Amino acid sequence: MSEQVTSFKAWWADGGRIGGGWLRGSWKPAHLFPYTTAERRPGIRWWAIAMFVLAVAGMVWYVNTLLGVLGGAGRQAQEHAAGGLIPGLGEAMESNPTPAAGILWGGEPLAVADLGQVAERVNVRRRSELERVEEVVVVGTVDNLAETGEVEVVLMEPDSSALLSEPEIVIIRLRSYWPDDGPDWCLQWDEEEGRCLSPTTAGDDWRAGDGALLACPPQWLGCQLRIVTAGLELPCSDTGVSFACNSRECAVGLVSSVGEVGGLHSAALRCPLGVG
Amino acid sequence: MLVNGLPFLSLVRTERVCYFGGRTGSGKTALAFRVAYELVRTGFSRYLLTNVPCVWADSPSDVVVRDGQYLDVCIVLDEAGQFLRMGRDAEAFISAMRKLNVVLLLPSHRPVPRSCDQLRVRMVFDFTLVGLPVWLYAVRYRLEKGADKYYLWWVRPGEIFGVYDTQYFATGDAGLSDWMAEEKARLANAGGSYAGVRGYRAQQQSSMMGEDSGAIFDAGAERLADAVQALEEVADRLAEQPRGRRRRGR
Repeated sequence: MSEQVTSFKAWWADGGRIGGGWLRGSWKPAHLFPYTTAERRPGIRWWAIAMFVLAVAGMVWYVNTLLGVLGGAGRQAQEHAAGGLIPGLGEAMESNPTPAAGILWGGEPLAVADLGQVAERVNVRRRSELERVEEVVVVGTVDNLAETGEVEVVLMEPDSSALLSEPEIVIIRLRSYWPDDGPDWCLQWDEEEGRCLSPTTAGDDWRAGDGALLACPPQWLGCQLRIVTAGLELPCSDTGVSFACNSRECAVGLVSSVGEVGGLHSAALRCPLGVG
Repeated sequence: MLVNGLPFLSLVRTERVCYFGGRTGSGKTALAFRVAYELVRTGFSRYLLTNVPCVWADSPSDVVVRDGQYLDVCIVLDEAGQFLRMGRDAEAFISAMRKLNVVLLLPSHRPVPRSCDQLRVRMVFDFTLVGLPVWLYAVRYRLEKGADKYYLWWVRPGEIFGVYDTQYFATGDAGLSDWMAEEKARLANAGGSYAGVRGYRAQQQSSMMGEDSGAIFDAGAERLADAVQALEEVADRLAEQPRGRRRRGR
C-alpha cells in the first residue's frame, strides 16, 4: 500500500522548506509560498537599526552632556554650579586673571562677567532686568587663586577712590547701529543730504566715536559697560527708543559703521555715583 | 528559527492545546503555523487542518485513521475565540485528544475558554521595530497554583510568510468541530469496549420528570458550569495582576 501524499508532503517533495538566512525572502518560490503579501518585509532593516542607534546615541548624548547623569560635561557643570564655580572659569582666570562673577539660575550657570582688576563686592540689588536671576555670586579673585589655587568667595570693600558705583551685573542684548543709516536711528535727520545732524544724547560726536560709544537705556546714560565676552568696555553716551530694558534683558547699541557685533551678553555696569 | 523552542514544542505535544493570544497583528497565527510545521515535519502529526487558506492544509476527508485509532491531526483554528466562547464549544475538540493524537492550536485575539488556556503564548516585543527580524514571545504554562513562564524567540519570522493567507478573515471553524465530533463518536470504541467483570450494561436515564425536562436540566447545568468556569477565569486573571505597583496613600 502506497503512502498517502498529504499537502505537506507534496509541498516538501517539491522543495518547500522553512528557515534560511537573514536576508530578505526573495528566494521563496511563488508556488511554494503563494500567500506572500507585500505588507510583510522580512529581513534585516538596516535603516531601522541606524535610526535606533542614532536615537540611543542622541539620548546618551543628552543625558551625558546636558544632564550629566553619566558623568559628562553636564555633571561638571552641576558640580561647579553646586560649588559656586563656573565651567571654564579657572582657565579664563589663569589667562586673564581678573575677578569674575557668575549668575546662577536654578543651579545652572547663566553668565559670567569680569569685574575688573580690583576685587569688588557685587551689587545684588534687584533690578527689573534681573528679576529672574536667583543669585549673583562672586566666585573668585586673582589673589587667592594665585596663592592657594582654590577659588572662594571674597568680599571686599569698594574702592572709595573710584567715582564709579559698585558694578552691577546686567544681561544685555548687543547690537550695532549707525545714525547715518536713516531717520530711525537719528533724532535730527537731514532729508536733503540724507545724514544725521544731531549728536549723541551726551553731546558727543558719534562719528568720532565709531566703535567707541554705546547707546543704552536712558537710566544708564553716563555709565560704563564692561562686556567681557565682546571685548568691550565703553561709556553709555547715547539713548534711543530702541534701547530699553524688558523683564529679561536690556538692549544696548554700539555705534559702529561696520555693524559686526550682536548677541546676548552679561556685562558689568558701573555708573558715576548718583547715576543709574 | 525558534530559539528555546524545544521545551515549548514538548509542552505542545503533551498538552495538545495551545492558545496564542495577544493583540491583532502580533504574530499569533504565524507562530501557530510555525509550530504546526514542526509537528507535521517531524511526523508527530500527519495532517494539518485549518480554517484559513494554507498551502499545507488538508481536507478532513483526506484523513485516514492510523492503526484504526489515531487521526494524527494538527488543527489550527484561527480566531478561535469567536466561535469557542464557552467550555462546551471547545468540548468537541479537547476531549480524547491524546487518544486520537490531535493537537489543537488556537490563535485568537479574543480569549478562548479556560479549558483551552492551560498553555498560552503571547508576543512580548517585536524587534523588527528596531530593525531586527526577531519576535519575542512569552510562554505561560498554568499549573495547579501559579504558572511556569519562559521566553521563546523567533528569529526571522518572515520564513512563515506565504504559507498561509494573512489577509483571510476566519469567521468559523470550517466545519472542523462537527468533523471532530463525528470522528470521536466513530472512534470512541475503536480500542474495543470494556466489558468489566460483570459485563457492560448501558446506564439508564432515570427521571421522574420525563425526558424533556431532563434535557432542559442538563442544558441549565451546563450553562451554570460555564458561568462558574468564567468566574474562575476572572479570579485567575485577577490573581495574576502584579501586586508591587499599588500606589501607597500618603
